Amino acid sequence: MERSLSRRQSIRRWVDLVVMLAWRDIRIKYKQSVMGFLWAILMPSLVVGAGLAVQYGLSWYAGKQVDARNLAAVAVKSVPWAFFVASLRFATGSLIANATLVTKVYLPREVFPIAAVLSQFADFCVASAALIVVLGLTGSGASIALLWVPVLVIGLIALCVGLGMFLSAGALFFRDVKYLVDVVITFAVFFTPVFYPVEVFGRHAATALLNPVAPLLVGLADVVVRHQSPDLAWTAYAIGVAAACCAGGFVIFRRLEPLFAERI
Amino acid sequence: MADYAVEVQGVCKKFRRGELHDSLRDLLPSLVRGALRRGPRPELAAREFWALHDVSFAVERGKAFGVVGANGAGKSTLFKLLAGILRPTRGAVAIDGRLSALIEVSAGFHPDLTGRENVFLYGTILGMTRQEIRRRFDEIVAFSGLEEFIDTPVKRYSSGMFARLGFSVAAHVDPEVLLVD
Repeated sequence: MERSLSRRQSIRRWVDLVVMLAWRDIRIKYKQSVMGFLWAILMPSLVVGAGLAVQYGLSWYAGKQVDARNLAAVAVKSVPWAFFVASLRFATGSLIANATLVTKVYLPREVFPIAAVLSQFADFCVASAALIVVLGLTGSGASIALLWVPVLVIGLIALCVGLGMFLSAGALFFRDVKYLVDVVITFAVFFTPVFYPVEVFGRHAATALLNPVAPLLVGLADVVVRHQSPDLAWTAYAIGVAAACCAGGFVIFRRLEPLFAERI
Repeated sequence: MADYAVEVQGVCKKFRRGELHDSLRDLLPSLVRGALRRGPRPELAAREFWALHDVSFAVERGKAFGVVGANGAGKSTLFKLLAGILRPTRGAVAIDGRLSALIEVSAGFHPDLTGRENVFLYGTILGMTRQEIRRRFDEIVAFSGLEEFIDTPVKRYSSGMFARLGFSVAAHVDPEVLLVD
């Protein structure tokens, strides 16, 4: 009885720690800024804007009419993409940024990358709310397929957390990891069907979908804009990879953790 | 049998001088040298030294235990081993009960957050739940004597106020084992 109580207590403490660290990051980000939380909407809007510009450009070049559904799909894929990019960047640097805490207090250290992803998720929620309003006003409509949204979003979060744990531990030992992540992420947008449909890749479409983010983004566009179920096989693949990343990231993280304070 | 809150048995901790690997130019030769070496590995590799060697002691519940030594004697290393921040190279550390370590306040506080926000942040870092902090919040603030400034960002605090608030939070964690460096 006492034991189970103390176990519950320690889970409570762990959850509170993640929440407080995420909340700290959110607070600091918007402190002393006039726009405050509006930045959470503005930043993804810029990404969506860039995507729409690309889409317009492509249609104009091909001499076709701009398809409103394509534009909506770009917007629906850009917002989670922005979340993925920001979480990965932020989580990778999370242990280094909290170096004083890593070397001075004992905490279960996985809270740092997890809190980093959570704080970005808050921004994602704000941006999604704005997107939902826009989609609602433009008459995008709703359907039973929307029930897929939480499944796909949870897959995306799991992917961020798994990669974040792995990369944050890597960056702690070798700072190169941080720069590599920056470079890879900058170029990844060209190899991920964010700004254009996956069909653009032609016979390499299947290769493009091997990137586990791609099926999740394409799935979200299918579900929200086209009101149809996502491709089941690819969705299962992406969620499988996300789960494997989570498990693998956690195991590696735990194994390296005893060295963190000495090697940071 | 005595009731020990802290037990340390044959603890050793090894550190290394200098940078780990300055560059790729140093890393490759050292890997080759390591691969070619014959015979058993020496206990201490080049540049390594013992910060602590074969330390054993036990502290009974309710007792205070002090460690005195010159600069560089290994007091802080021992502290970090007890707190679980570092893992001993050899030996074992056993702590029975909720442990809290008094650390530099600056490690847990964020300058841009207000005193109130930092009480919650620092409290959770030291191992309290938010519920516990909420319950004891008024006590913590009263103990620090900073009621008027609790909603001011701590970057505007004097260093004395900063330390008072930090200590006040740490004093309310109610640990069974308290470490002070």
